[in-house]
Amino acid sequence: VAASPLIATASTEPELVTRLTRFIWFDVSACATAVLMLVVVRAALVDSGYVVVLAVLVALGGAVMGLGLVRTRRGDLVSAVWCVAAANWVIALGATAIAPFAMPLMIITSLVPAVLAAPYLRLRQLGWVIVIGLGVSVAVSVVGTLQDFSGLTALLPDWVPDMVVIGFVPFVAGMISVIAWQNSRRVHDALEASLAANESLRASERELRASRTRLVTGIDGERRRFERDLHDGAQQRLIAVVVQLRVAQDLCRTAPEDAALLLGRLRDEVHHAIDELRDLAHGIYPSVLHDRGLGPALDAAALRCPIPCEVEVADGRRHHTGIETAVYFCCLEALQNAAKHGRPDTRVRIEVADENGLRFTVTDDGPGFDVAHTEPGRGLQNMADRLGAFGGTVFIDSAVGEGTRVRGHVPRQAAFEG
Amino acid sequence: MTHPVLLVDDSAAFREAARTVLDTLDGFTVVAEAGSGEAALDIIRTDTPLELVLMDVRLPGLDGIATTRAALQAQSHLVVILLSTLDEHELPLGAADCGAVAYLPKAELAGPRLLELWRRAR
Repeated sequence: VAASPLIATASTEPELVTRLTRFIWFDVSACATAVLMLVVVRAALVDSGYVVVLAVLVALGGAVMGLGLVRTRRGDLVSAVWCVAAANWVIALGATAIAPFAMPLMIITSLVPAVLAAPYLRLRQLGWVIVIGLGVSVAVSVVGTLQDFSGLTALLPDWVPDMVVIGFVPFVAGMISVIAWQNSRRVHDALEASLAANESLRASERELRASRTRLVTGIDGERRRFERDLHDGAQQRLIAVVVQLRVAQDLCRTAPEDAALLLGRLRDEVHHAIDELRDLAHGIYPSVLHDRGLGPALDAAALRCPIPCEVEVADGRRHHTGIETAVYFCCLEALQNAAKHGRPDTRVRIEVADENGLRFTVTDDGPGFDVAHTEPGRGLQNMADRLGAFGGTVFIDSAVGEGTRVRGHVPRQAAFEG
Repeated sequence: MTHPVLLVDDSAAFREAARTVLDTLDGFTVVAEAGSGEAALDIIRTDTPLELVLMDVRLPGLDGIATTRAALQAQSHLVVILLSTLDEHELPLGAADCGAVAYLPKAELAGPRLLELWRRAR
């Protein structure tokens, strides 16, 4: 889950582009309506040039807003917002100067840009819009209270100023409320997305910790296993050889033929010990993997495997040592499982390919198992942890009587290249 | 008169070595072998005549210490010698007071050493 940026740009927030476009159209329409009403007032009620000046001023404001529309279409939302703000402030000041009775309407009109601009401007610019808006609203209050040079208030019938205030103030206030609500919803959505992203991060962190714990525990477990294997295997054999060599030494003097027989047996024991040590070394880290790569290492593992195994490594390139090791031991785990649970004639096929990283599949035609009703064992967890350390994943497909397929993938990542 | 011996070790290779050593000594006969503590106790509890037990310390399941205690409860006259690849200071707790007469590192198993321990115990 990704948190959306609070500051909109045309490329990231098409919804906000639409919102700004609609608002400007609405504002332009309001200006057009106002101009039309002023024409009617001039024609029917008051024969004053100030009405014409006011109409021209509102029309000019509407034109600047139209410029904002053009900027919006070009993706320059910041300029568009500044156009709208400037038009609103000029109209608010000019209209109040000529028609002071419109002061309450113009005070809130001068504050509209501060609300409108929130999602479009960075904090510094937004601060300027708020400060200028505040300044204009104070200026509107002063101009509307202290002067009436046009004398329009006296010339108009009483119901006209009343209609302007009572009719339009709730209208503009409603508009501000709608914009404020939209802004709040946007902040709320951004917060929710941020919380979700945070929770997702926490979950990843928890999984990471659990995985690290499992890896450390797994390493300790492996060490114990190797110690036990060494103790029960090669070490016991070699000690047995030492003990019997001492006997053979005595027999050389008293019964040379018996000594020769014993020494022959001891030679076989030493060979067994060597084989056990070599198998153990392979289990710790096969040197062929380091020296020659994944293909030869898997070929060697297939040769040692008690059941038939084919290996096809399409990609001969070398990868990060950790990734090669992870893929090798995952394939080995799958191979050992196939040998452990399969029949002697169970066949295994290991395929490794370079598909945006390393992808491998280990398929066997063994007895299979019910994936849905089988608790994932330590083997699968080990595979998942080994691959997960490099951003990889592993999946198991199996069904009773239909064999098993282990699929894994470690994506190519710059951090692990070379 | 021969002294019947029981070999208790999970390593067949080492049991074979111990048998080779005992074969060189007059008066000792290996009458039974066991690969685990449980199997050893099964033999001891059948009243098989035994005098000497060579007991590995690290056994799967019941370890050599616990097996020695149980064996001496069943046949208190037994001479038990503990064997292991461990150094003496690495032995598990209880090795000193489990009733075994001595501890012998496996690599030091030899006829004269075994005879010396046997005579000291008797």
